[in-house]
Amino acid sequence: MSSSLEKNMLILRSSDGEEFIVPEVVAVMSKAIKNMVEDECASNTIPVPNVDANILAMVIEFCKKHDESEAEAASDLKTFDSEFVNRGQEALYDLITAANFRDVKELLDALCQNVAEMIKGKSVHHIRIQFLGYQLFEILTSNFIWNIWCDRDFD
Amino acid sequence: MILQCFSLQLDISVKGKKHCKRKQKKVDDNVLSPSSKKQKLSEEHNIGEGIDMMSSLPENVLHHILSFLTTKEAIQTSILSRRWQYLWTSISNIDLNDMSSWSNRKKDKGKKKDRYPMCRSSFLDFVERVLLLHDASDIKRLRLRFTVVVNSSRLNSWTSAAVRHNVEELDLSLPVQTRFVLPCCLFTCDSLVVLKLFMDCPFNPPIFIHFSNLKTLHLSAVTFSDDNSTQQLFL
Repeated sequence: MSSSLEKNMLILRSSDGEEFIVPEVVAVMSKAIKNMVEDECASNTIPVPNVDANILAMVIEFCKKHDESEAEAASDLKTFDSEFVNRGQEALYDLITAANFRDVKELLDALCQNVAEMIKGKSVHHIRIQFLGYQLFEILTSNFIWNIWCDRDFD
Repeated sequence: MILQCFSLQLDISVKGKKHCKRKQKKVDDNVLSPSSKKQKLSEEHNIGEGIDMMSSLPENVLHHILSFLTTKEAIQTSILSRRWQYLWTSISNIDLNDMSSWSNRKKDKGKKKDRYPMCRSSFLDFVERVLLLHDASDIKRLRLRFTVVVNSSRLNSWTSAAVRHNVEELDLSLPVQTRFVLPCCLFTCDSLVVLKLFMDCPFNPPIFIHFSNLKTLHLSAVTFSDDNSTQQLFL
């Protein structure tokens, strides 16, 4: 397989065995992969454990866009980013884990900012119910003391 | 006590279960309403299904998320769950402004003007705790904009705390009690890159001044007691 590959292409293999052929410039946006390539410990196929094909495809899509659009207007990239991170929580979680584990700074920035935007302006119980998966009952029992505290507020 | 300052609306536990159910419905509506983006998200995942996504993220990611929030919002997250309780203590940008904190309260309780002095002293207590409870990590930027008069011993401990945490940008804009003297350690702070002071106070720099990295210096409303002190600073 490697012989048919162009010189500056790399194969990334996801945790479930699917292989993606990507240009090296795109792959090295992940610092972890960059280190591997620089240290020459990467053969043509680089395994990406803990990241399944679905998520890896998304990460590659993001990196490709960022690599191509270096010259493009920043606003275009911003709209792409905001659309890209607009996903369900499970996908978001997997993407964040992948970006963190593979050290893709741009992606991690965009994702974390998105989560921060979701937290902004919400009251505590909204966040708890929406993100932390709290059931209403848990909130009622575990935060009794906090509530007494907050009731005191400044009155 | 720290959290008392902000009006986090933890209003669920007060009344019975029926009430809560109704409230949850309300909550759902609120979550759905702000934008189509969030609407989509809430539709995909039923609220409260137990993903617990945020708490299982690694700590460095959670810190990263906090860095996109304002100081107030970041500190508010401390009551989300035990995991979040002390995360905010490592935020590197602290930006506190008493006016923005009070504007919400004014709308709520416009009539209770007489309570303000006490509120303000609580706010100062709050700022003190934010600075003193900060963990060992560095504070990059400390920006305080107050209309409350701060007494000098407080301000002294705040500035010292900032210097201890290798502050890079210190921006203080606050009325102080007369005869406030900036602590000596500020004038020998190696990490300081930007220093902005907007204080109506006499400025008596100590004899030994050594800013090795300072690039920007803004002084407003500061009174130099004599030529000598001016020379000391700029020579």
